[in-house]
Amino acid sequence: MAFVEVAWRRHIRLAMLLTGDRWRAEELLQDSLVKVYERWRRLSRLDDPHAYLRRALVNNHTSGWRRRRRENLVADVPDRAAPAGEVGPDALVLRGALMSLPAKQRAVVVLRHYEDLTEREVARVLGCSLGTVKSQNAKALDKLRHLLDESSYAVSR
Amino acid sequence: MNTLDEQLAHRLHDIVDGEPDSVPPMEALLGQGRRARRRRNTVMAGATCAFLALGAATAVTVATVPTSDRPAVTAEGVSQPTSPGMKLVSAVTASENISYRMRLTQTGGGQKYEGAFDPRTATGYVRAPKDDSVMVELLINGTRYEGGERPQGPLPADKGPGETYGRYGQYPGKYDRLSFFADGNDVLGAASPDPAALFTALKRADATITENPDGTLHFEYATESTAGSTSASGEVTLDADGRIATVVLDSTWRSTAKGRLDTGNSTATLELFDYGVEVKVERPADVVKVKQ
Repeated sequence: MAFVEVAWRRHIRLAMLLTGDRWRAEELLQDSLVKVYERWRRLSRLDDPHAYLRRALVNNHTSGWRRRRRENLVADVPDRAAPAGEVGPDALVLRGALMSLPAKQRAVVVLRHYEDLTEREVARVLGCSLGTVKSQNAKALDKLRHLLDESSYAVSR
Repeated sequence: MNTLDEQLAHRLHDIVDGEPDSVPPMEALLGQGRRARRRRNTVMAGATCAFLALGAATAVTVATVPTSDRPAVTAEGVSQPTSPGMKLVSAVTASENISYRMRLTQTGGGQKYEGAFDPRTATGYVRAPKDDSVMVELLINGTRYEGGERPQGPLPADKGPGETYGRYGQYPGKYDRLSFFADGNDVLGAASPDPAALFTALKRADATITENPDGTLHFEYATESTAGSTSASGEVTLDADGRIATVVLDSTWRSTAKGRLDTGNSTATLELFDYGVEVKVERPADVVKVKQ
């Protein structure tokens, strides 16, 4: 189960950027890890099973993933509803803007700019064309610029 | 860095990098994983059934449906391959959970198989023409039928009389793959009914996988037993969607099982095509239930 522990640390933040909060992120990651578990005999021999998990994670999210059987999945009952972690006001604004994007655009932005994948790699993860990634990324950035009011955003940096 | 594009990576990290680590709910995860794996395995069947040369009328329909709007890789695939092994895994992943037609040709007078299979519905068929009959296996929603049909050409003079064509044996239980070819433990046998098993079989054989300059994949493996050895090499070609298109296997074997040294060579070509084809198989009219 070393893989699960490593995978949890490695992918929980990606899941948080996709879902917007820790609890939904944990559910999404758990569901994706179950899929990996089901296929572990094969996946354990892969060069990089984390790539498989990342793909499952992103596609679970963009394909209309629903929370399910949460009561069977979480280790502890959350004692608060709000996301954990201390973030600055700029980050909060960006997080809000990110959540306003459609799921697929958000996935493109997160994979491209947080996971630092190339556009071609993003296309492979999402199972779409390179052109779709380019257009989705451009639309997403346009919307984020609008929402964040880039000029003031840049000056504040 | 003054533009959003340039700052975005840093800003995204700012959002989540300060989040405290948490512990995965290991017990719940294992419990759900075990239940999910059991569900997947309930339809698995282990043994390969012996072929029945019976007979009866069978209607098999295979119609091609457009696949251009299908993603090349399934939702649970892998990301861009970084090695030949990874590339093969990616192709295998793209080739599983989708229907396909198949053709397996063995050189040197070996058998030829043709068929189609949809792993999502456990439905498909395989035909293997012989001189006195066409061996047929049908799988309909996991139920296996095996029988023999009249060959298209004239029967050999010494064969045919007394043969009952079109009668099928129905095997008890449920199956998730066709049984022809092999038991799923060797390379082409595994690849034939189930492309996803190719990688598993190659791994089992501890195969070395490399990439040719033209992008095709090359594999080699050798196995040894007390009665002999086998060395094999093969080429895997992918189609435009990154799925497995052909597997060519060339193998040389040496055996001392008969108290002398026997050697041989065989070549087999597996073709997988028409991914996404609609596979419909009708139940035969003349069916005899097989007791096992």
